[in-house]
Amino acid sequence: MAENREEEGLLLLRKLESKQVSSVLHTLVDGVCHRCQPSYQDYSKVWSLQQWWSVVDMYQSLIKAAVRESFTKDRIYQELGALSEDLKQTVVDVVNSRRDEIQNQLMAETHNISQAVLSDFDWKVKLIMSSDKISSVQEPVVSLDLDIGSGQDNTIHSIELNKEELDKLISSLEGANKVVQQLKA
Amino acid sequence: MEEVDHIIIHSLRVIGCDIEEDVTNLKQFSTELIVSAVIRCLKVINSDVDLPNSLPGGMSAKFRIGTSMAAHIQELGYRGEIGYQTFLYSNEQEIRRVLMFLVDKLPKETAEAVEEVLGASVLLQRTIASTLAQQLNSVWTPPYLKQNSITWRGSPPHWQREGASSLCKFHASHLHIPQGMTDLKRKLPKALRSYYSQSLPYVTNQTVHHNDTSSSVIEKMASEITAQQEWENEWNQAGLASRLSEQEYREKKKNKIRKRVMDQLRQDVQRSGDFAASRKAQDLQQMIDSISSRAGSSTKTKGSRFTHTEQLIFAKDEEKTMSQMGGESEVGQGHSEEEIQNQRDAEVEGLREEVSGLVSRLEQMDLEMRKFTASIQQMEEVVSTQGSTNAEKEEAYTVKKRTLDLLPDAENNIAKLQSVVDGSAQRLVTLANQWEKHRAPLIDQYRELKDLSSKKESEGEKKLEEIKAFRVRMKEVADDARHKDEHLKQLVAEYERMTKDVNRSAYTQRIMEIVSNIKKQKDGINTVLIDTRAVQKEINQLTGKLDRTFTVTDELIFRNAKKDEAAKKAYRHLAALHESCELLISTVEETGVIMREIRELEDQIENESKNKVLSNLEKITSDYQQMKKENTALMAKMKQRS
Repeated sequence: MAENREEEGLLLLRKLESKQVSSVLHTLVDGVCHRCQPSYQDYSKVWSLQQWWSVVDMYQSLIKAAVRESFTKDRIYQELGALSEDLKQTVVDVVNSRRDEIQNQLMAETHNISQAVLSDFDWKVKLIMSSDKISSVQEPVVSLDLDIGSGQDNTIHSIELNKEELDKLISSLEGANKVVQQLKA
Repeated sequence: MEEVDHIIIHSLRVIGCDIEEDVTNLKQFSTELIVSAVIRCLKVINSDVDLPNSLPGGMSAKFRIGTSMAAHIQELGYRGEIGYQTFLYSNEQEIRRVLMFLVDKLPKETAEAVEEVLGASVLLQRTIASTLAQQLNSVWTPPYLKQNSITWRGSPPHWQREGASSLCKFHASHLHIPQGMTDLKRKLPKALRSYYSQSLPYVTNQTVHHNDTSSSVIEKMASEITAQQEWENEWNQAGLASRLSEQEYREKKKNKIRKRVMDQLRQDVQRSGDFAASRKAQDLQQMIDSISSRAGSSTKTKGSRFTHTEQLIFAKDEEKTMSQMGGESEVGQGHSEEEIQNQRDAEVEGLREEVSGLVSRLEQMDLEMRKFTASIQQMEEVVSTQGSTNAEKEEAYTVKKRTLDLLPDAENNIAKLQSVVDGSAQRLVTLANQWEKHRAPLIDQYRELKDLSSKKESEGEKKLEEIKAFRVRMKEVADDARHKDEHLKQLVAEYERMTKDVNRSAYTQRIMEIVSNIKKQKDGINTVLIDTRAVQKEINQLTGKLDRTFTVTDELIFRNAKKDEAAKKAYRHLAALHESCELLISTVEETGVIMREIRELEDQIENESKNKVLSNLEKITSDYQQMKKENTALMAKMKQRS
């Protein structure tokens, strides 16, 4: 049953015109790399929703597998089964031309050293002019947003630091950087 | 004096006086111009001064303005004689003095520049305060009236950002740009080329939100630059010393890191392996369970038609079988239900026992099989060891057999063996000799080569050092050049700022000229002084000499005069001569004094004539007449009123 469905998903590519095939595959790769996700609207005339999902699932998993286990051309041909030679060739071309990108993405997904990982950060500096008690404070504070991703969902932790705290944070981060450098050398 | 006039006229023009182009010195200033210039200066110095910009028509009004102007100037600290007459009946020198004083008092533009240097933080605080004040004073506008919270207001109105509702996070995402396009020699694969030209979206479309584009580009550039810098650093420090090409170095490093990570992982796995071994099977079972349960619920469509129909069909089948079973049970209703139940239980029990028996037998068999395989292995090992001992023994046997064969004819054989041994020993010796012969040159060569290689190594090291030094110098020079460029830019900017003020350099030049002129004049005066002093000295000497000769001759002739009549006459003449000569000298001195007085007087006359006394007098008299007329007119009016 499952085998059949897989086959179906892979064969659905035949419905497209040959020009569209490579662009579809490229958008699928973009989806793998967490860029613009492929949208169903563009292909709603060709496939039903169920078919679209099966196409996306099958090809994305195929692409991932091909890069992860570094399939050769023949192996990909074999995986594609009863597809025509031209289409197989386009699939192989797409995978080969985007191999580095996909590999980097897969590595980025797996090389985290802990459950929660800092994925991004943002900062702004604010100048406190005065408070309700003091007319002139003139103290700069930095508000730091740490974007921490654990698995699929991201949470933003916001902290506010004054000058000394920021110095402390930076020095500890520099220590961590030193450790990384030692590991590199 | 012309220079001073130029400066005064220039600064008056700068503050906005309407002076015509052909006016070049203060002599050409009319009364109206003087008054307007002075009033303008006063207004610039002190904005509170309330005076009309031009002279009024009435004489008394003129007089009043003149006195108030004089009062203002005295308030500023002018220490000369000043009154309404200074402006109305002008005298060039006095006007010059007043204008010089006023120009000196004008507020300096340089003061602003000095203030600017005061500090960026002060300026920042000031601007913050002013913007806050402005925003507090302005009317609130709802955010939907401002696109991206940009508004056009203030006085004078300008574009500005208000509020923080439109600010977005600095969020960067990965961008992909074509690579390897700059190297024209290397051909891109066709598939990659078509991807770049057809499917790769523009950088502006690659981010999920359009706002992220600029931040992503900045992030990408920054990361590339830092990577490049880091690589350069490392290459300079460690890479060059390793004497590998760049690629080899990278490869080596990659392998090293990979090995390290692998070691670490292996260690960890080993450590945790012992602990986890006991739970492994259980975990695996759980995982499989969870996966299978997930697989059941993993279809995305919760209720597609297909699954519905499937469910329906299966449900029907089940119902059918149920009903069938129900039918069967109806057939065997003759027996009592308990009996059936017991029978079934017994059957189940029997089957269970059978199964357990089978399982235990299976296990036994399994165990036996394992034992047998183990014993097979053992036996194989035994067989192989036996084989090896067999071979050894066979060898020993052959050797012994040969010696036994040789035993009967022992002596001959011994001799033969001896000869063989001798021959082989000799051969060994000759071989050794030959070897020595070959060896010596080879060793020499080896040593030479070793020396050469060590030399080369040291040379290479030296060159490496040199390369390092050059790299350092290269960086230094580049830095230097950059610094100098910056400096140049700064200087150019400064120069441009300076050239606007042409007068300054001209003035300094003029001042230098004047100073040198003054020096020359001073020198001239000094020489004249020295001359006069020399003349004075000569005069003194001469008078002294005269006195002395006179007394000598006087005495001589006086002694002779007692005896001689002619001498007496001569003495009288001498006295007369002396007296008249003295008289002459005194008259000459007097004429000198008078001449000096005359010159002084002439100077005074010239000065007075410069003061335009006559014309001023005429003006004064005419003004006086006018005032009189005005007064009489006023009197007449008064009388009419009364």
